[in-house]
Amino acid sequence: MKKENQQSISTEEMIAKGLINVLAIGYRGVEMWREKRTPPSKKNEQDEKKA
Amino acid sequence: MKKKPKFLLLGWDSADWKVINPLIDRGEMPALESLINKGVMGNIATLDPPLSPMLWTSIATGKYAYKHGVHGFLEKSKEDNKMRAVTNDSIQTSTLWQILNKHGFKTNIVGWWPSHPANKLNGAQVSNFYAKAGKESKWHNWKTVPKSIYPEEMAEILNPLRVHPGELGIEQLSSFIPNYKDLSKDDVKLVNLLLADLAECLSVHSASTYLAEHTEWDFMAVYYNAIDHVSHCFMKYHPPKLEWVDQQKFDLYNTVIEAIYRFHDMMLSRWLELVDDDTYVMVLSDHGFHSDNLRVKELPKEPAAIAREHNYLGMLTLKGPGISKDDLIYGSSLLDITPTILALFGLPIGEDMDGKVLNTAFDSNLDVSFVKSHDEQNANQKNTLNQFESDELVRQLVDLGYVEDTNMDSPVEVKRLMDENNFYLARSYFDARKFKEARVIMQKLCEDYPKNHRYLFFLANVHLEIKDAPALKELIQKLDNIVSKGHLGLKLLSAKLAFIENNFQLAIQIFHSLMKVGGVPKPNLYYHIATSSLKLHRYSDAALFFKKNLEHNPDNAYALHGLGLAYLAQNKFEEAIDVLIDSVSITYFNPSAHYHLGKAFKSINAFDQAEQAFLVARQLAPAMSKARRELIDLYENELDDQEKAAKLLVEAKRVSKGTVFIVSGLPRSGTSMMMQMLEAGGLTPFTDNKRIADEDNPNGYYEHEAIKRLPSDNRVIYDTSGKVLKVVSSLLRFLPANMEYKIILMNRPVHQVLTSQEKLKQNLNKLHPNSSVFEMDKLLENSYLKAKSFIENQRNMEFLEVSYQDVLNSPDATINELIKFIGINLDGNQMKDKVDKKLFRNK
Repeated sequence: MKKENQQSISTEEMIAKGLINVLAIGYRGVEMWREKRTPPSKKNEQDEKKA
Repeated sequence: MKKKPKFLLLGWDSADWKVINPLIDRGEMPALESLINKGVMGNIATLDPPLSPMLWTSIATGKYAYKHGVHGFLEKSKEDNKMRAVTNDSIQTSTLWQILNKHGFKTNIVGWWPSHPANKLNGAQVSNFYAKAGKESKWHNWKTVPKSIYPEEMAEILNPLRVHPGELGIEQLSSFIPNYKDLSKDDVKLVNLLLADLAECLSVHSASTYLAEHTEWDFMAVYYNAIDHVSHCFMKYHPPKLEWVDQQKFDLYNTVIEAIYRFHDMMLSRWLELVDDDTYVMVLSDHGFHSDNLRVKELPKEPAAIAREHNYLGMLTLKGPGISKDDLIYGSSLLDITPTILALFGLPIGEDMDGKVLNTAFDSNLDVSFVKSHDEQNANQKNTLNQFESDELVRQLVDLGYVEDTNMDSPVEVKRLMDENNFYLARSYFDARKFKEARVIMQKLCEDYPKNHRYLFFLANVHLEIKDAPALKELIQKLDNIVSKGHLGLKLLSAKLAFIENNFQLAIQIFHSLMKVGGVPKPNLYYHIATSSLKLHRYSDAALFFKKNLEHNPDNAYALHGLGLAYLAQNKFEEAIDVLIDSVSITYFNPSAHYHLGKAFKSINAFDQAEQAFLVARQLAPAMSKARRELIDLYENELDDQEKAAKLLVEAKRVSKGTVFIVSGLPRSGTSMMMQMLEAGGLTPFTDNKRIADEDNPNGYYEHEAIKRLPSDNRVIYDTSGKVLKVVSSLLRFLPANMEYKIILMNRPVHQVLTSQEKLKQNLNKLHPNSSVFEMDKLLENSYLKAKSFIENQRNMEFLEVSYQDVLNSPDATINELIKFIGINLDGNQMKDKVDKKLFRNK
């Protein structure tokens, strides 16, 4: 991807298009990702089941 | 008013252009590509030993490890004398950020290795312990690490931004291992390591991006270790497939390396959004990582063996105001980063720093000022920490293979681990060419660990570098009783001993015999055979074996330099230029290679290019007077710039105060006559006049008893600066190494030398009663060649070969050449008066 394209697309659009991993955005990406993923309580249960 | 600079420094441990370049070519690292297009890129030379905490501290201080104090992965805790992961405690000098803070600049430092406990800064610091997740820890009750964040009140914000490996799953794993469904139980350890590395990387990225957006800062440094850790685990699976790698594992893991690089590019993309165009952005690694046929199948069982996977060249790219666009830079070292950034901020560079400003990266040179040291004004603030805080980092280092799995509390182990650090310290001295300091440490270590092969062999390398053949012989005998019979390393040492004793033929024989046995990497042997062939003036052989070495390692700058020398000697100037340019492109800091490049350009009358090459050689090694001499010759005779020539001549005079002039050669080769000429020209001879003139030397011998005692005591030489003295060729090797010498090597056909004095012949025959005249001829010729080869090999020696017959037959030309070589305006007429053709009686 060329520099010009990069500048014309916002980070949000890049995430949406799968061009960038949401976690590579930094703390904002981590926050966005955490909002959308499996709720912590369920993940705890899954962890315990795995164990 | 000039705008205050803003600088972002991103550290990608182990990143290597060999992996990056194909990705950029395919458009898969667009952020790095845009950075390169807006700035400069190049290799950056690492330091030895290539161990990350030592290297990143050199980057942050501009100093070798023996000055900054971090000597390994571990340190002894002052609180309880136990070993722990290395911390800020070990750093004995000011860091870049401490200096910036002292001058009012605000800095944010995240993840730097080592940076725990987080020091008080004018800004924020997140230590390298911040995101360590214990094996047993769960992500929903993950304990925070005390003292990992400064200011402490930021812990409330930054700790929740950490990402725990337990949070990551298939979604993330699939980006790295698309065929994750094929993973089996065998893969659990490796996959867990990958997730732990990724989580730590995300934590560092989260904290640093938060600080970038929410704090005021002038300088920010962020260290990411994931490329290094992932490379140690997965580089063997990176394409092309190596024959010893299991096909199934290759199919599973062959995408991991490129994925981690692409992920770093995505993080860089975010950084480029967070800073404006006026912000300097530098991405660099501390060393590279072998990704080609140099990948190691089996690592030896020794501490920090995995460092053998590191490539000595890392990557560097920089953009910002005043930085050249889309350009290459050469000759960067990790030591240069701090001086360059200080200069950018308009701050003085410490004279005790070992690096230089990377001026070639800028459109115009930066103004550089100096201060004796920043340490006087900047005492390190120290903090304390508890042992348990470091345990997790130690665990991670053990998992990766950097640190042995041992009891860090036992006094015996503590001593052993500290001694291992001393070994790294000795290597740092060696890297800085402080061989005597390295030798003191290694001799002590070898006394304490008389059977430790690594220590003994490294001491042997120190002896080799000092060219102390007797000490090396003694050590080889010692090793012979310790190592197994026919030990390849020992044989290799014997060959290298022959080399420093100038017995190149024997050295070549041993190298060839090792080739037949196998076990020593062939490229190494090719290189050694080539350098020995060069010494024997067998240039075709030298070229052949340098090429064989380069087939295996095309980036071996030293082999390219050697090949250039072989071409130069064969008058293949165009070929020499090609390979010498390749050599300096890879390792710029090799003044000798630039000098030879200049010689090659000069040979094809490309005088402007020759000038540039000699100027670089002189810049890199100001004491290299032969480069200066070539420049004077160019300015006087080819480029018609008498002003520059005159300036350099003045400089040469100034430098010559610290130089000793020596007349050498075989006995009876005209050395006394040359001494007379130089005395008549204006040089002061160093002689005690004890040996009085006689029929053989009617004008005196110009000898000094003290010179004959050089092998046992060479201190007398320190009193001879600026004088001329006579030293027979066999004693040249005993001259002190810390002075400069200009040697006039008298060359006279051996048969004339032999017949010139019947007494000499008798004496030699007494020594070698069975030698025929023919054998004596050979003996003397070899002796002369050995002396010449020895001089050629010394950095502090320059020589001019003067033919005895030329002095007699064409004194004017010879005297002109002599005056140019000496660099002082000697009285040529007086010198000519001393040329006595009557002396030439034994044709």
